[in-house]
Amino acid sequence: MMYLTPDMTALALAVLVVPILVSSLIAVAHYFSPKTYGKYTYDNYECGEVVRGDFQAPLPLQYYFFMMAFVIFDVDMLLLLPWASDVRGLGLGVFLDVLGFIGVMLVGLFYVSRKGYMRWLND
Amino acid sequence: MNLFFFIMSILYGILKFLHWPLWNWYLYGYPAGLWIMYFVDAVIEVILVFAVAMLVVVILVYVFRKYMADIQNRIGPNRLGPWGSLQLIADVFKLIQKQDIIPKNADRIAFRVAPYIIFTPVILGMLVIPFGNVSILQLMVVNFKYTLLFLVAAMVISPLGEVIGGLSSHNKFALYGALRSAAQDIGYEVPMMISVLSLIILAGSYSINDIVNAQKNIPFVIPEILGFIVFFLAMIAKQSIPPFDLPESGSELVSGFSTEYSGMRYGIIYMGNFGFMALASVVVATLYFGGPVGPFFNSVLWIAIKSAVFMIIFLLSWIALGRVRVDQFLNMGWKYLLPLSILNLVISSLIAIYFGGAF
Repeated sequence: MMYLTPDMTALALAVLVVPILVSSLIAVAHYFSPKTYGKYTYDNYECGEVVRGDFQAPLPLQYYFFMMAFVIFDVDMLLLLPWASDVRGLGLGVFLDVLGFIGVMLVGLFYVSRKGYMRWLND
Repeated sequence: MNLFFFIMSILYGILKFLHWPLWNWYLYGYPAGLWIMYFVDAVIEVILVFAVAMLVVVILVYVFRKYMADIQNRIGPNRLGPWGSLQLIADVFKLIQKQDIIPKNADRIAFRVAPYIIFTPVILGMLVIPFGNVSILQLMVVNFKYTLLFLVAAMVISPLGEVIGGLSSHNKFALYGALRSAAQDIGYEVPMMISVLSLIILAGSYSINDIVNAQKNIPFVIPEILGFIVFFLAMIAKQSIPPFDLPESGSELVSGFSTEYSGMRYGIIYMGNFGFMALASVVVATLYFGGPVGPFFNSVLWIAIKSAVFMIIFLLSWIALGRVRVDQFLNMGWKYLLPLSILNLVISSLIAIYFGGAF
């Protein structure tokens, strides 16, 4: 019962209560909505045309490199979080270490952007 | 007085008045009725925040439509109620009457789950914001040591709903919308996180309450102007409003990730978008402009004024600006915003080391 503070209770119940409110709205709408059925009612929307082809056509995912960089930098940011709350106490030395830590990432990013992996291809 | 204890005292009075039989059963040393009221209290708080957020959304949508009409030389909604102010209520009833269509090709579970993922974080974010106080009643629902981290976590979830909704529709437009949403997400998230990191450095705490208290003398926008610019652009991108409305670019993709959504499900997504606009303006006002801290007295009035200014700026950005391309956005995020935010991190940590954090 130690962790059952009023704040945490509200937070935990919010995760339940808000979806319940939303789903009750959707349920009310479902109850009052018409249930007609035409030949094309449940087809996908393609500007009024009959659906053609597969939706999973091969796509050039040109920002794949950005995704890799995103994962790396996100973890980087996560590792900096414990340092951030006590920068003054840890002092200048740790700050220089952190600068080196970020600097390695930035040098890598700069190198890759020089190599042309962050360019948007137009072919 | 805390909002929780305010509501709890009212409930306690009601319980005492009713002489509920549950009062005599004890659980962990407290009456069972008190335990039930404890949870009822939390639910009431959440519903209160929900109602206030929805009220703000209704006002915001009305102001948006009137403002947009004024700029585009139209009249806007003017039939229902004084100056068309009841138009949105009528729209809600219209949405309730619409047919509930899930395309037969769609991934039904993911399609249904996506609006919840878009909408719920808005309320979760609203819960942790310190809204200041009305006389002695403090309007803050949730306060613990890591509220800022929780807020960031809640704000990061909602774009995932866009991706899930777009992918699960099995529609080509929605697929493109979802892919663009993912691209936009990876474009702004790292700079936004790093500017949040420098806020934590300056305040020396993960709690939003401490961040507000640290801005008593100087708001954080002055030492962290670069971080403010980065965070503000990231907030515009996160709401996916122009110039960064890539996930639902109305003139290219039909409606982007929400193409297949109709009826109340679309209404939920729409409310989530406008609710996120309200949340984003409140967050910017709280983190960089001191929230309820004002020049004369600390009150909920100041945060209302500050966030209203930001709402107007967001609406103006929506109405006035054109759309950027995906590659332009990603280049902006990784080649300009990221170095700017790291520069801001260095500046704020040097301030923290040499001047001792907050002023």
